[in-house]
Amino acid sequence: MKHAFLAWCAVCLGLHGAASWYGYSPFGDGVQARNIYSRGGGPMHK
Amino acid sequence: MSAAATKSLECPACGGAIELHAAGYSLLHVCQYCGSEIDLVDDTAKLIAQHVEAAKALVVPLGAKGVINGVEWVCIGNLEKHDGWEGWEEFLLFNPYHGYRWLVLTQSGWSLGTPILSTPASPTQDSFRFEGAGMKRIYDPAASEIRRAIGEFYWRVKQGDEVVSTSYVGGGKVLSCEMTGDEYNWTLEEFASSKGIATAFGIEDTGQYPRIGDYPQPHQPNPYSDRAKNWGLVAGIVFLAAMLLSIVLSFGGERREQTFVANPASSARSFSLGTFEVTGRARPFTIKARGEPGDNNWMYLEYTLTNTATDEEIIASQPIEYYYGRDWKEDDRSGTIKIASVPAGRYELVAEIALPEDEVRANSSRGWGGAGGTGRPVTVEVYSNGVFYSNLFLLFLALFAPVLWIALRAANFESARASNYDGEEDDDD
Repeated sequence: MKHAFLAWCAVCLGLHGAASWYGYSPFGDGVQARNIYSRGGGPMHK
Repeated sequence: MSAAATKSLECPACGGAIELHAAGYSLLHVCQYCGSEIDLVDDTAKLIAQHVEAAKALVVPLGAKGVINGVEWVCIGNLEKHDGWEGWEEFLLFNPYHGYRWLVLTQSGWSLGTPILSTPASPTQDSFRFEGAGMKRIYDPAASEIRRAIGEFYWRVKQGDEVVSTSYVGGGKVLSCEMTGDEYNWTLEEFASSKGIATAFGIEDTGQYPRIGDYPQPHQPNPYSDRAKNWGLVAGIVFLAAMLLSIVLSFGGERREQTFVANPASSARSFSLGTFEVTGRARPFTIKARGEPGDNNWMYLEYTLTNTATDEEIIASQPIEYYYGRDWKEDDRSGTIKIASVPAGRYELVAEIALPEDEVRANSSRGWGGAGGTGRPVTVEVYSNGVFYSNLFLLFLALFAPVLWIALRAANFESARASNYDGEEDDDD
């Protein structure tokens, strides 16, 4: 079990390192279409 | 204590071959074949009580030898006890130079008990200190009955004998006290692994909690607690290394900052933040903006990152808003967006600002349409690199989820252990 955990840590570190190297984020690339903002905006407060 | 001689004799009752391993020390032998009690005080074996019982295979056979902590012990006797709740076995071990030990087999595993001649405390006490460790009572005094006795003993024991016993735990050891009349016999018990006992005596591994039993022994080391600490340490080190790696890899970008005042009356609200060279590998772009859209108003920034060689565009946008009421406020006058994995190349970044007046001038009479004709400043700071904190957050979850899992197992282990103590809550009750 110890070796499995160490292997898991190595995999996590490797994936994180690769993501950091390529500037990758699994939550999206931040890229959007033009003019997507809801024109007029307005508070979210109700 | 001089070396004991091994002596052979025949059971006066059944004629079975008996081998004494502590001849000269034992007072009594209970025949393992028929259960008859044989007095060993004199040189001749005298029959005290004759029984006819089927021989029972013992987990540690009489005469079996095993080395524990560097000392060779021979198993000379076996007691089976029951306290009305559960039963256990005690194997009497003998070494002519080290005396007697008890190997106790409960439903959860093994202990090695050393009789102690001192009196650590009164068995009426709930707690006391022994050899620097705080001992706490875990089992209230309760009667137990000897249901079977086989082999050699240094006292006259017989089936049906009763003793009252109580136990304390502390410092990873158990102190148990057996009371018979005015006589107190204290034994210091240390946990013994089933694998170690099996190896020592060449017997089958009987297992230990959690493989057998419903709860661990009071002094059984929690196999998960050290693992949880070690795993937590490893996870922490890996996380710190990953943070360091992220920080190091975030160096080397180009930084630009520009302040622009957006004039509602003018449609020229586009400005360039310069060119950026992304070399070697893809990198993220970090864009921070802070602006003053005015009270209860917004402004909207749209960024276009254009590869100067291919004219490929990457679009990103960012609202800047500030709304408030009597008892609430939504302040988004500053914010950060990140564009992931911008490939290597040369890029120009252009920001364009949109204002409410651009589209809904007609609504301005409803008090919503803007902050008047004053210019609204916005400062944009761009860095052609960065750190995704969400990646670190995911890494934290991935690393510490197994640690949490093992920590919960450690807690469950202790919970199961405590459930068997007297005075503790037991779900089975």
